[in-house]
Amino acid sequence: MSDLVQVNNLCVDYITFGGRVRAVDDVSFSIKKGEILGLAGESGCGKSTIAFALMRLHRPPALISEGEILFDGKDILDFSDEELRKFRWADTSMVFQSAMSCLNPVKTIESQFYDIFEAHNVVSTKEEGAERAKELLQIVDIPPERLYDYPHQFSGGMRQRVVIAMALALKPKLLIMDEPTTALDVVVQREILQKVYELKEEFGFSVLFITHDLSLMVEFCDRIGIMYSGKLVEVAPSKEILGKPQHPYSFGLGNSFPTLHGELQEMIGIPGSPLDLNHVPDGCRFAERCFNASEQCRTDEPQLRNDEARGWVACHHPLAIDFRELQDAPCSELN
Amino acid sequence: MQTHVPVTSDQKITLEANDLCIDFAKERKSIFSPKQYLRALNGLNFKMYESRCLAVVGESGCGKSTAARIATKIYNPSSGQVKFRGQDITEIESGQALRDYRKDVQMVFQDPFGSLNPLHTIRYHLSRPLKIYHGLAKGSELEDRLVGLLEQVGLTPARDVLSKFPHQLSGGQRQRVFLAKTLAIGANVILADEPTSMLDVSIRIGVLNLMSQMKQEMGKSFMYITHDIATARYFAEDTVVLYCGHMVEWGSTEEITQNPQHPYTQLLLAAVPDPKRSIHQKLPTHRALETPMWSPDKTGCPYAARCPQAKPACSEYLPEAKEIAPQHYVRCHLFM
Ligand SMILES: Nc1ncnc2c1ncn2[C@@H]1O[C@H](COP(=O)(O)OP(=O)(O)OP(=O)(O)O)[C@@H](O)[C@H]1O
Ligand SMILES: Nc1ncnc2c1ncn2[C@@H]1O[C@H](COP(=O)(O)OP(=O)(O)OP(=O)(O)O)[C@@H](O)[C@H]1O
Ligand code: SF4
Ligand SMILES: [Mg+2]
Ligand SMILES: [Mg+2]
Repeated sequence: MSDLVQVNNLCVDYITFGGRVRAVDDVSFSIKKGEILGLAGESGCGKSTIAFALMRLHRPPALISEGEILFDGKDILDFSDEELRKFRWADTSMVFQSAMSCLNPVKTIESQFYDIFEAHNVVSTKEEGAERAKELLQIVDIPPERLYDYPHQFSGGMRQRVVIAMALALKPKLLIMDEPTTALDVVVQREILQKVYELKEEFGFSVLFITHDLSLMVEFCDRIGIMYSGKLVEVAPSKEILGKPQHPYSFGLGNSFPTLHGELQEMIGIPGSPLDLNHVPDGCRFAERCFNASEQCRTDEPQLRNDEARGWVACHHPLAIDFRELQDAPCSELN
Repeated sequence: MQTHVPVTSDQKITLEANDLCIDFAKERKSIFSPKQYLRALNGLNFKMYESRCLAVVGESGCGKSTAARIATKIYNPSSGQVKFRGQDITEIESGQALRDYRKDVQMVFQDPFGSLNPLHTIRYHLSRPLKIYHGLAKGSELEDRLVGLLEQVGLTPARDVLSKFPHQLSGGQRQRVFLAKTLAIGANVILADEPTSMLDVSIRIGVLNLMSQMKQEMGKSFMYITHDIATARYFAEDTVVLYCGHMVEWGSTEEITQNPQHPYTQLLLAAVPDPKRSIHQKLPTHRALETPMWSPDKTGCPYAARCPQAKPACSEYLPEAKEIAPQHYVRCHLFM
């Protein structure tokens, strides 16, 4: 698979009264064609900031101060307003946590679809727009006759489906989903994500999926990037993030989600609390909470390195335990 | 980890609910339309024990918080009763008995920001209950208690924390302070309504572990309201699954999570994210309808409209509870 998106050394700052806060610091990753990449990490680690930057939807006080975002080889940071207008929806679209914030409460679904089609000159008449919109509603399992309803006439789960149908309206190559199901019940959540997966298989788009629910992410994503206070600290195939974590923070996150099946293990989570971005220490940002920290960790900042055998990780002392083997072995314990 | 333990005969019941129902008047479209009621809870029964936790799980709006609000006397049930150590709590109306009840039964909320007064230091929050309930006004005894409380909830160095204001602490630390406050008050029954859902994921387990410790080492009796069933399995011995105000399945958490029998519980558990599964995990068939709103005049099983196995009887009357295995009850026509 080739890369659809390549993010290189991206830095995003927020300019605040207290000074400049670097919310995304020197982050690089790629998304392959047809791949679902997850971004996980605690609140405030910069996930949404990256999502907005990928759409170039970031607004002051956010500022992209360094880096490039290559989409199909072209740097979207160089795009003109006209190029950007075409790029959004047609190449990349985004679904947020709250469907209501993407939908206009005083317009019918039909006219909101029409606005998208019209802005991109893909339909010439209202009828044609309605036809296409009905097809789109159908692919997310909403009866086409509901096209003429207003957003408040739908349940939360249906609204999120409508938003997904709109996001797919122009057959984008990348769908960004920022906590798309956090406000929904688990049954609806699974149904929606299964639908997105099916559509992805059918149309071949890529997905950037953001959530703080690591269990869900492991189920849904091909690869997962773990962020800690503005830094990408590990990228690995999703099953390995839990089974063979290399970064102590990934290990700690994995150790924060009890499982529904299998033997109950005592979990430890991660001691301490997340970093205040106004006071970033020298060295590794995770050092204060890390069980493996050495003197070096407190002075030198670890760089994200790619080691063919192990994947991407930014840590001076990456872990080398395979918990999958441990768990399968008789009489072995995690702790 | 040990949450799979049956109730023993020497464990004391703390709170107990018998056939609780509560109706809320719906907003009327006009003054001429007839008064309508929403039945938020229909026939809730549970027993809570010392040193045990009862998880109440179910989707949004199923009545979880309402159950806790009845138990803390914020709402009065329309019928049925809650007993505390054998006494009907509606009889506790004023005076010392009410103060004792308020001291003994405490709620912990989702939002650790809202539950502490931003204008007061942590010292103030903890010393007030020590003074009011235990007559500890000042001196080294008070100091020792304050430090001891903060150490018990894992907030160290305690002396630094005492002089801080709530906004100077993280969400997890604030939730710990709040738990320290329930300890200061001396509560024995703690009703925790989604106590970790607003916290950062890495510190949720720490708060759950702290509550486990309060449960195991201090004998506290917990109700844990959550929609995160995996954490219920981690923390609670007993579980009630609510659907639309009705108990559909209840008993030992391990039984419910590993061997769910009610069609709704099966659907719910199949949908819970689990890293050992894949997103393709098939959900049991169900009709994709919205959860109905219950009202006092409705009959039958609340899940009947969505249930693929529904029989005619299902929409006619609600079946009795049936013990299908030790410590495992369902209310479903399929088991009659
Ligand atoms: N408008 C803003 N002004 C100043 N700082 C901001 C602004 N928006 C975000 N930040 C800061 O940037 C950092 C990253 O925020 P971001 O919203 O990307 O986090 P996130 O990972 O999406 O978190 P969450 O899981 O809570 O959605 C945070 O520390 C936040 O405080
Ligand atoms: N004071 C009230 N007046 C009217 N209706 C109410 C009141 N309190 C709760 N309800 C209704 O009772 C039902 C149960 O509400 P409750 O808050 O107990 O749900 P919940 O299970 O805690 O949901 P969530 O997971 O969203 O917190 C809902 O339909 C709610 O709208
Ligand atoms: S670099 Fe050091 S402190 Fe940072 S995560 Fe690795 S071991 Fe821990
Ligand atoms: Mg975000
Ligand atoms: Mg609630």
